[in-house]
Amino acid sequence: MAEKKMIIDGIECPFTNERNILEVARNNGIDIPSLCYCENLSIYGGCRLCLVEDERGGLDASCSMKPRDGMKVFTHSKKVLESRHTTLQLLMNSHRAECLTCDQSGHCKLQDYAHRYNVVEPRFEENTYSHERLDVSSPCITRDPSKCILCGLCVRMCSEVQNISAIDFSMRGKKAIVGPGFGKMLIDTGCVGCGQCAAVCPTGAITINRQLPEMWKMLNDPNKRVVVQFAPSVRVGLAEEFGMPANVPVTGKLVTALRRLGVDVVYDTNLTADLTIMEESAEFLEKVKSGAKLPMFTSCCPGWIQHVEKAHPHLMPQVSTCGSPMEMFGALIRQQFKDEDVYSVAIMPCTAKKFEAARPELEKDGKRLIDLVLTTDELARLIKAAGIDLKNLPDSEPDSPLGEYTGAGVIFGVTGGVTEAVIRRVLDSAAPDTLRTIAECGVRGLEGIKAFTVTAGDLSIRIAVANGLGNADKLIERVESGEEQFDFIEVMACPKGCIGGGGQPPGSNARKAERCEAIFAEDEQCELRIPQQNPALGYVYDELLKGRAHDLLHIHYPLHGKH
Amino acid sequence: METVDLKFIDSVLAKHGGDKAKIIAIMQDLQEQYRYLPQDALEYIAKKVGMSESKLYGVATFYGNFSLDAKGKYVVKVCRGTACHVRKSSSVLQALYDATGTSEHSPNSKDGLFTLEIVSCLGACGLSPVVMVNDVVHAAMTPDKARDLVKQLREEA
Repeated sequence: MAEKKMIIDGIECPFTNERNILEVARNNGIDIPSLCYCENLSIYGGCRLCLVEDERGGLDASCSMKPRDGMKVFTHSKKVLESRHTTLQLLMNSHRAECLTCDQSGHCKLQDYAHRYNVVEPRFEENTYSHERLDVSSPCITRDPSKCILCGLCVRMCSEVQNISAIDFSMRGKKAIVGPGFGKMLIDTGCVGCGQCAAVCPTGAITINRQLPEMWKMLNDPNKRVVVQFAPSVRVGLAEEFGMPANVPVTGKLVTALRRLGVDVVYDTNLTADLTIMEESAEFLEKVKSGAKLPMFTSCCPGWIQHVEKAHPHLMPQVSTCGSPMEMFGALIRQQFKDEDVYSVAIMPCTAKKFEAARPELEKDGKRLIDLVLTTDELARLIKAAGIDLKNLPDSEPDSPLGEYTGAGVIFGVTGGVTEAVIRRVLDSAAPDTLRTIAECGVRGLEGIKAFTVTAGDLSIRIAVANGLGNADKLIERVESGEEQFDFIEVMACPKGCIGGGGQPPGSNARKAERCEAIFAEDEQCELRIPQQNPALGYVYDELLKGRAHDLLHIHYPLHGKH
Repeated sequence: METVDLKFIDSVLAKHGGDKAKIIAIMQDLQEQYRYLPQDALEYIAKKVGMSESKLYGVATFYGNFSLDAKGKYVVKVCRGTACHVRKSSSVLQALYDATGTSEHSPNSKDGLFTLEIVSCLGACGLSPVVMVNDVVHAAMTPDKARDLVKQLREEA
């Protein structure tokens, strides 16, 4: 079949199966503005910014039009520009602009377009933004209806991808708002704090709760020993905020930047990712041996844990009791610096971790294991505020003795990574052939649900991996209807795993694929790639945990039942 | 808040096959019983038909005829359409506000008897000015007739 082409602004643009003209234009280097469109969500056509003019002078939303061979459209004709200008004026009228102090400033699409299309004067004197109160009930995100432009991206994200529908449109006309039903607060809904709504919000209507002042206070307190751990995905999201490519990890620069910020001790959460695998694979093999109810679900993801608690409480006993790598490192830090005045900080790609860290179950010996969780995005702000030029920093290594890690820990950042690490542990061989076989068994890839079988000796393990809570729900339905049986199921609440977490800089699918590439690149560079090879584990078990491994590394949430 | 009768709601759900596509009909039946949509009932229905609370709330608040606020025993609809307006429905409305102790911003009377609503046209312009109490039409109203009506309804109640 001949190549299909359409003409955009006089330029020939070939296309194949793009779902609309907007995608064709963007794939050909023409950026049509839009506020309500996302490649991963259904098409809404509400913001009217992506209008293009056809040959007959008609205006139509390019997000809602299929490309046709030979079609001609214009994206910046007089008519289009006038329409766009008016639309932006109207949108700005229904948005409470406080750009100097707004959390979203600099990342706000409305602000960007207002500048780009030179919308300098307001059209109407009276503003029409919502006066609904601020929702600060969630420890993870804040909802500010006065900044909402009703694009509905968060609504679609929450229902189509996460299958939670904590928020939706209500009322109509100028009273229309987005929020939970019955005027409830987010904390009283099925919201798990994954932050995906904030990641797609084009304005500052849903933002991540930032805790930077607390961090600065501790960094500048000479009596506090600030110990920071950072998660696998942070090394691949951070770079983008500093204009560096997404497909190269910046681990070494990240460590240097943390030291320059005044952090006293820097650790890489990868160590406890290795530790998680040791504990989790032991727990799994024990469950298989004792004939406990399977599948066993993973427990690293706090969004997933909350989703089980809220939507599938009966499955909680099947969720691993292993603490998340963040929790485990928190426990190690408390053991390592026993009586010192340590402030334990975790840099995470995740907004739900803020909730996890504050859970009473994450208190051991009467003390919180993690004092503060900052997201990748917050770390970027911290580095910028300190005037550090991340791009040109030299590399350095995390502190010993808890700085060691293997490739198995690194890959936790991407969907399937935990599972791949468990398989590496169970097959117990670091031979390149074995590692290649594992990589090709079906565990890798960014698909929403993956299912495959792994054979270890005489044990045949049926495994599934889901990312995005909507996919997890589909998988659970398949299991509960008896359609399929699994022994082990990994769930990450965010699409594509932690690399796409709510605390990461927002990114396109292509960007996330690059982050995934960077994660596996670091894994391949590691000399040691199976968790049991981690030389620090001996020290951890023998010197730090001293027989308290189960007590300190496992979390029994209320719904886990009596143990 | 009124406690809702789950048996009644179950019977409504059964009548509509628990189908979320029939959610509007379900809510109409609910409103007929309670004269408004009690939140407890809607939350129960959301769970039963497999719809999110936020979505159901969105549907309920989209339509002007659904009310989420408890209403008085007598819902008094005062027509403010053009025909009624030229025949002085504004003075009828004011008389009703005064007699029931309500206002535009607090349309429910304290004794729980009356809810005042302004409607745009009841489709009976020949009888203007028109007031409707629950299902009964009162034609050619005057402020005096309005005060008598309130008095009579109070006695009946």
